[in-house]
Amino acid sequence: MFGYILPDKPNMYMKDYYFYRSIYCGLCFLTKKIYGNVARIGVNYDLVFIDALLHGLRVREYESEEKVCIANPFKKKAVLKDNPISRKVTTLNVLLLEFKGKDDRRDGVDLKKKIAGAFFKRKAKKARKILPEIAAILDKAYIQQEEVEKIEGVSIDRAAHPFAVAIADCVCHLAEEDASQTLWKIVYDLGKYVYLMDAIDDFESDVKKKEFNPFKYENPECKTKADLIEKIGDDLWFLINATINSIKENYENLPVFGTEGIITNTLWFGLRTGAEKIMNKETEKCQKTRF
Amino acid sequence: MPKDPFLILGVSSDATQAEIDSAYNTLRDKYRLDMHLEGERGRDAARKLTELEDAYRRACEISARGAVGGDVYSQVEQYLRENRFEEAQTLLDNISERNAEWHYLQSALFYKKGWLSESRSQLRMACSMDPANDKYRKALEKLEGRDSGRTTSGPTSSAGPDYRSAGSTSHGYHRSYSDYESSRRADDTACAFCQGLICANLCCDCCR
Repeated sequence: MFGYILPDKPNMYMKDYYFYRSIYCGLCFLTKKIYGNVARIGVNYDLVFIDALLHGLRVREYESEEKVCIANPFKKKAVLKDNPISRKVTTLNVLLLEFKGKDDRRDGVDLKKKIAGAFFKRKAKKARKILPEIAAILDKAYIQQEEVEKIEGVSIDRAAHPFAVAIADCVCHLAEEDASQTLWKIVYDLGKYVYLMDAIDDFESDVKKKEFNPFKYENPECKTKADLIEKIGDDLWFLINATINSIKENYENLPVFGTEGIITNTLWFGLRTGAEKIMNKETEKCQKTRF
Repeated sequence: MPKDPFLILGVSSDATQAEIDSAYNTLRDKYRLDMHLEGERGRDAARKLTELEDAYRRACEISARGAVGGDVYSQVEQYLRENRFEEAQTLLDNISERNAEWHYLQSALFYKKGWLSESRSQLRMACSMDPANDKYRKALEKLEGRDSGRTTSGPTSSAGPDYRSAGSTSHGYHRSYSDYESSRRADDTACAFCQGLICANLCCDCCR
C-alpha cells in the first residue's frame, strides 16, 4: 500500500502512541527475521493499521520486549513480541509490495522503483508459499486492475474497485472467524480511500509520464494537482468525506478491544488530516485540526 | 425514420390502452369512409389507414412495455433489498428505456455497492430528468448531506458521536477518540492543571 492510513500524532494519547510504535517496531523486526534486513524498507504505516485492526478483533493480551534498533542504538524500545497475526501481516505486506511492483513495472517507471519491484518479487516467492490464498487474491486483482485501466474515462469508483476488493478480501481472510460483512466494508472503504489519495497525489507525475490516472480523461486540461483540485475539488471532497463517514458508521458495529485508541484516532482524525494535507493547494506542509 | 405513433393517433405518449384504442377506432372509421372518395383523397386515405395500423401496433407495444417496466423496476428493488447486486445490475442493463426512475434505481444500486461518486451522478441525472419529483430530490439532499455531516472541509461544529463506554477497556479513564472531540470543549478548567502535569512529564521524557 501507499502509506496513507496515518494516525494523527498530535492528537494521540501517549499510551496509544507508544503502543502504535511498538506495533510498528514489531513488524519491522519480524520482517527482518522472516525476509531479511533489506525488506524492512517496505514496512509502512498502513500495515500497522491492519495489524492493529486484526489484533483488536481477538487479542486481549499484548506482550512487548525491549530491543535496540539501528535507528537509535542508544535507546531501548518496546517492541511487540513475535505473534502469529503480525507474522501474517508481514507476509501480506511483501505480497502487496510485489503487487505494487508489478503495477509500477507495467506503467513503466524509473529505475529505483524497478529495482525495488524486482527485489520484492524475489521475496514474494517465499511469501506465496506461506499464504497462497492471499497471493491468489492479489493475482486476480492485478488482472482486474489491468482490465479496468483500459476503460477510457473510467469513474474513480470503478477504478478503485479491484484494489479495494482485494484488500478487503485479504484482511478478511487473515481475520478468519472474526471476519464479517462489516469488517469487509470498512476495509473496502479504506482501500478506496487509499486509491483515491494515491490518484490525487500522483496526478501530476502520471500526466507527465503518461501513466494511468482515473482523473486524466475527464480533465485533460489539468496538468497539475492544483489545477485538478481547482476544477473538481468539491467532487473529490464529497467522495473523501462520504467514504470516511461510511467507515465511521460501519466501525460502530465492529467489536474492537485494546487497539481501539489507535484505530479510532486514525479513523476519526488521521484520515481527515491526511486528506487535507493532500488536498492542500499550498506546497507548505501545514496541519490543521478542526473540531 | 418512422413518425411517432402517438402523434399519428393524436394521443399523448403516456396514454392508456383504452385511450389508444378509442383514438384508433375513431381515425380508422374516418379513413375507411374517406377511402371511397375520388382521386387523390381516396388514395391519401388508404395510405393513412396503413400508417394508422402500423402506428396502432407500435403504440400498443410501447404502452405494454411501460406496464411491464413497472414490474421490472419492482424486481430490481427486490434484488436491492436482498443485496443481490449482480442480478439487479443485469436487469437494469437489459432495460433499454432509461428514464428518471431507471437512473434513481441505478443510483441506489451504486450506493449500496459503496460507489458513492457514481451514485451521486446517477441521482443528479434522475433529478434533472424529473425535477418535480420529491423522492429523487430528497435522496440527493441526503446523499450530499452525508458529505456535510461531521467531516466537512469547511468550518463545522462537530460533536463526535458517543462511543461505547469506557468500560470496554481495562482502563476506566480511557475513552476513544470519537468522543475526544466533544470532551475537548467540555473540560477546559480541569485541563489547565493537567496540561501543566503533562508538559512536565514530557520534559522528563525528553531527558531520559
